Amino acid sequence: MAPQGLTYALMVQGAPYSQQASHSALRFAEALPAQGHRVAAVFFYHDGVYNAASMMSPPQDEPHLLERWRALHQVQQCELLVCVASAIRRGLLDESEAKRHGHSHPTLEAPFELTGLGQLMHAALHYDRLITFAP
Amino acid sequence: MSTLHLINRSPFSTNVLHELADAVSEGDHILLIEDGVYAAFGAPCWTLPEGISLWALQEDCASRGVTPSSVTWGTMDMAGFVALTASTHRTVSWF
Repeated sequence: MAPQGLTYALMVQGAPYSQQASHSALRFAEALPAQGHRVAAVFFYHDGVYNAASMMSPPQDEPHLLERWRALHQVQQCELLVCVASAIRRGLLDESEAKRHGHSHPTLEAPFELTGLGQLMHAALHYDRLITFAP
Repeated sequence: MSTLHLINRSPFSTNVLHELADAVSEGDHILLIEDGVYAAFGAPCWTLPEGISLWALQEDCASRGVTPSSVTWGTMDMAGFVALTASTHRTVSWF
């Protein structure tokens, strides 16, 4: 008998629209509540940070990954954690980082948040399962 | 401690299935997802210890036109994937 009511952390390392990792992670996360589980945190790492690009504008007949992540955050109250070191060098900056680097607009917005690897360690230690969706 | 091993890459582009053969132990599960399901066309060409369960994710098989060799591979849907992560102690992704 599988345990009930588990909390999950997911790590997404695949870039949106070029690898399947985002789709797999979203489908997995959306299937958790039916079995009494929930995703507590999603950690975006390496090229996975592009999932948080706030200006993401896919064609209307394609899945809007940013909206799917936002919906997941709303439904399951999960944190959307973005590795700051991976994000800054790829041009994903929140308001304070944008200011600090002299840019006029942020490219990353809430509910996504820039965090460090410490948050990943915290998620790995505090939640029941950590599942990596590889590039 | 049972482990779920996730494979998301085609056996034609990676060697992890061979590396995995040395890391699995009795009671473990191997689940093929994404391009990993291409390994389900036949029996594994590597030697696995006894007592390992082999699975392929149904929807990734369907989207690629892969019909897993039923002698070796079981299929499961996303709900089965979730259940497997809950019933095993940890999940390791190989890539």
